Amino acid sequence: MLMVLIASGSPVDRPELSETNMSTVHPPSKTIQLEIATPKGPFKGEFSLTTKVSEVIDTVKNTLELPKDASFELWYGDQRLAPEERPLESFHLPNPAKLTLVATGSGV
Amino acid sequence: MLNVQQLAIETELADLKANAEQQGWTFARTGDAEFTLGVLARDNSWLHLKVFLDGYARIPPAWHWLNPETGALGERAHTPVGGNFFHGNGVICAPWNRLAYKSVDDRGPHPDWAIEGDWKANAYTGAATTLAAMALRIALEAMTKYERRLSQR
Repeated sequence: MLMVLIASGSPVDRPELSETNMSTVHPPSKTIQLEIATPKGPFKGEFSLTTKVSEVIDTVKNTLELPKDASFELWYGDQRLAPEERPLESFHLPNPAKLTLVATGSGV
Repeated sequence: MLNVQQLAIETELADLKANAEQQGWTFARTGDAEFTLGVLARDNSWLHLKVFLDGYARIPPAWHWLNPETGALGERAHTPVGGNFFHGNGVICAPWNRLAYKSVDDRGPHPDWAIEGDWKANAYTGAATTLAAMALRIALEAMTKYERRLSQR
């Protein structure tokens, strides 16, 4: 999974490339920029199109320190990005794409 | 000077405002402890809310449906129905909405919830424990479950 994180409004730990893998990493050929509204404000990141939805959710949860045991869904407008084991490219999203990360819950 | 609790609320409001700008919602602070929010429903109409934060986060916010032209709250023509959240009683039915508690509002569907209890521990709250998380749920319900206004048959 290739990923570059840029967050606004919240602190972000940016992944760093080591000297070793700097020499072996090539520029991404197929990536997508995601702008995700989350329970802790906007998150921006660039992901490989082969990244699974579940990996995107985990990345946002970890980066923004959302509750680890909490469940979230990723949505593009009224389309839920599921099953979450599917890669981003299978959803044919625009680039960049504006998504929402919504806490799973139910009305009662 | 703001205390720790107030700073936490200001942070939540900043997160919500940033989400609103990104998503194309409307957001405006209308006082120290209140704001308005507008989200688009799936019929391309706007749903507006006025939210009161007095007592938050000890107790949940009060999410009122708003007539943005007059400022009136809870009018049937400005109250959505659909799905489990947009309740036919005219309030958002969730532990994170103060108006869902019968002891607070007569329309509240839940006499079984205690407003002085730990609303964040209610199983139905899930991770909707920030203002931005609540707004994201409302916006999603508006986009996916909204059916009509309460005044419409």
